[in-house]
Amino acid sequence: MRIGPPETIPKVTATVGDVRAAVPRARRPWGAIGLFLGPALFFYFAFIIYPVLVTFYNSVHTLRMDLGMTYEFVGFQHFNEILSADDVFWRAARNSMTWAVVAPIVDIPLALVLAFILHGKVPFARFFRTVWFTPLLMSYPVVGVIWLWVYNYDWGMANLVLRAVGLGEYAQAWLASPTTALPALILVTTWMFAGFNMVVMLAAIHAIPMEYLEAARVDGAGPWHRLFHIVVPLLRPTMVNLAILDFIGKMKQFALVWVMTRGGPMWGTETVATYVIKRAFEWKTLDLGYPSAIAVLWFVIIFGLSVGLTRFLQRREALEF
Amino acid sequence: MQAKKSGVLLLACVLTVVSWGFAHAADLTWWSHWATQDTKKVVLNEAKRRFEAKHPGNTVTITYYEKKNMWPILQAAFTAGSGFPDVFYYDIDVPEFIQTGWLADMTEAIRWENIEPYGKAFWTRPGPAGKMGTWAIPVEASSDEIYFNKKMFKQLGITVPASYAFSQDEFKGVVSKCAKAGYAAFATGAADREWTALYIPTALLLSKLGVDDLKKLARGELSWKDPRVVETMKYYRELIDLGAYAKTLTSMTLADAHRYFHTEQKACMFPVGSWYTGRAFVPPDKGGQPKDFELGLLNYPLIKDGKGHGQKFLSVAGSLAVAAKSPNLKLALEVANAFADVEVGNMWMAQTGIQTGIKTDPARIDSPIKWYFEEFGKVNTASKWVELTTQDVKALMKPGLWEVWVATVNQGLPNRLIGVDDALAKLEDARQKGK
Repeated sequence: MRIGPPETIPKVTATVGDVRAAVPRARRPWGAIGLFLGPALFFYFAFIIYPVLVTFYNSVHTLRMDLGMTYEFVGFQHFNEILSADDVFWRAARNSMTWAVVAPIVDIPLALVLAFILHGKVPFARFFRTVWFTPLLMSYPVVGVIWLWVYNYDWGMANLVLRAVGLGEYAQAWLASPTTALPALILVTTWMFAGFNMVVMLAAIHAIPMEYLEAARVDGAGPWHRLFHIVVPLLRPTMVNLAILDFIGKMKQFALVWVMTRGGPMWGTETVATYVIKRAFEWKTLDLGYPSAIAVLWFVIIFGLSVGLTRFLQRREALEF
Repeated sequence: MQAKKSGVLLLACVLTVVSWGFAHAADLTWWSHWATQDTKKVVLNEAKRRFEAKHPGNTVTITYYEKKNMWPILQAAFTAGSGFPDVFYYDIDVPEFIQTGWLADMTEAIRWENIEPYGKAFWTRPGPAGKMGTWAIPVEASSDEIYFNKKMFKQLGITVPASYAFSQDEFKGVVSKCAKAGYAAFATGAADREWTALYIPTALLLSKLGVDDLKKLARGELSWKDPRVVETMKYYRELIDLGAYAKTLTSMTLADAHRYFHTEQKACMFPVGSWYTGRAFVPPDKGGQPKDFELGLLNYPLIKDGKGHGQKFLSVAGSLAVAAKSPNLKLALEVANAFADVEVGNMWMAQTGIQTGIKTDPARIDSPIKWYFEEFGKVNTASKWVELTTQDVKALMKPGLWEVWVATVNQGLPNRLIGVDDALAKLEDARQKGK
């Protein structure tokens, strides 16, 4: 009895193409695809793509009210003016950038600390988790009004506390000076988003395999070593994502400023978003060209910085792991 | 048989008329400011009632907004070509609405004989493509006033001159006395308005320059480094340094400022439009002034060597416009026309105590605030009214200049964030940019 490959078995010489041709091609259910995707695509195009295209179109045009509301092509004239002669834009850009850089630096470590506190099973942990998360459930206008009260010179909580502890000389109108107004607003967003960042961070901490920590403990690593050499590095991807989200969110900051200071005093809290709205709706021209150009420019800047920041942080991450 | 035929014909006619009536019954939409001002609402509701009585089957629904929020919504609706109301509150905040052709021309639609000529003249201006028209009906007019707390003045030993206008030095003394007694001189809240801290500097500039040069300054035809302007603004800064404004200026809203003045009584004076009464002359539990509050009025301080002594700001304020593309244009114009009636004018005066562009018959005005009209008349006996107000300056200034005017003079100076020279340099820079 000969043991070997049966001669009757044909050599497999068919190509992938032959196989594809042999198998009857399943018809795509275009009707169902259209039915399910259609509404979403319609709304996406109507409310995202179309406005974006119109904004790009407007940014190179100007509305001539004196010529019967006609649009005139002006090329990059708006961009040139923004970059070369618009002091308020630069002030707004600086404020937005300051906010976007400072906020993650403050927010993420704070969230980490809060998450560790809750992870450490402190008494009333559930209560604290709810309390810290609650501000996120409030809208910007509500938060804005609450903090307007907190910062009120006469009876605001900030000054009441200072006066109560004998630091009355530091009591001041927090939103009346450009030097204190922006930090005061940054503090509000930190208060508002600490809970969200904390919850995400807490979930990430829970996802860390306990074996790593146990192994480290067995190897003699103390709590601080375990924290800084195991926990924090493992939380890094979460922190990077939160930092980038925080950065993008603060670069677009509008509602809180609008409610609390409308960009004042003296442009001290002006952000690019509030400036766009002012130019679009408060400059009595109805011309959306210039504000659209600011919006386009800022979109490009945010996009570029976000991509750059992501790559930079991810690269560092790759090097460490 | 003949009778039967006639009956059927009659029935057909009746049905046709009735169905035509139903087909043409319209529910008109009206967006209005003055959400919190009940006395004004009474008059608006009266106009609505008169319209509905005159046009049975047609109704009007009034929706109240804060005007600051209403403008962008209106602008978006007009730009989109749908979603705008038939009738809406209008004022000089948004003069561009006229040029765009969004407002209906009222030239032929209103009983103008019942409107004060200055009111009609105010809204008669070039519209789209330069076509002249009359674009709104002037319901409210207002002057810029300086109200004061009589009891507080007495307590501080301040005597008001017979002309009701302090000299430059006297006014400084008044501010100083108020500040030293722990009061703010002016109840002003700049948290939700961009012009509240502009009343005093604008009045001082009027007193110094006179209205013609003030208008030139606003239009950018006069330098902010003009020595008269510099001198006046330096004087204004002296008032600020004496403690003219409360430290709560930036976090105080206009509504707060009213309470600060008449309820909490923490300020001697309240520079504000004569529409003060709209908020103050309501029951105290609705934010009105206390029953025993003694309200007085002043004329503007007389700046040394001023060309504008005795001049006082008065202009058309809250008005009513109609959307040019309203599907119910004729009816909408009739809603506006309902205001053009001396009785409505009388009612406005009696209810609100604020001037109106509608003609009135003072002899027939029966009002619980007659004392106020008398006081107002006494103070303004010699006033030379000029057609401008602190708010209207916005319509004269180019947007870039207005932005800097607000930032430096509504925010920077009263909070002592900027010196006069810096402020004027920024204003001059904006003037030269011409944006």
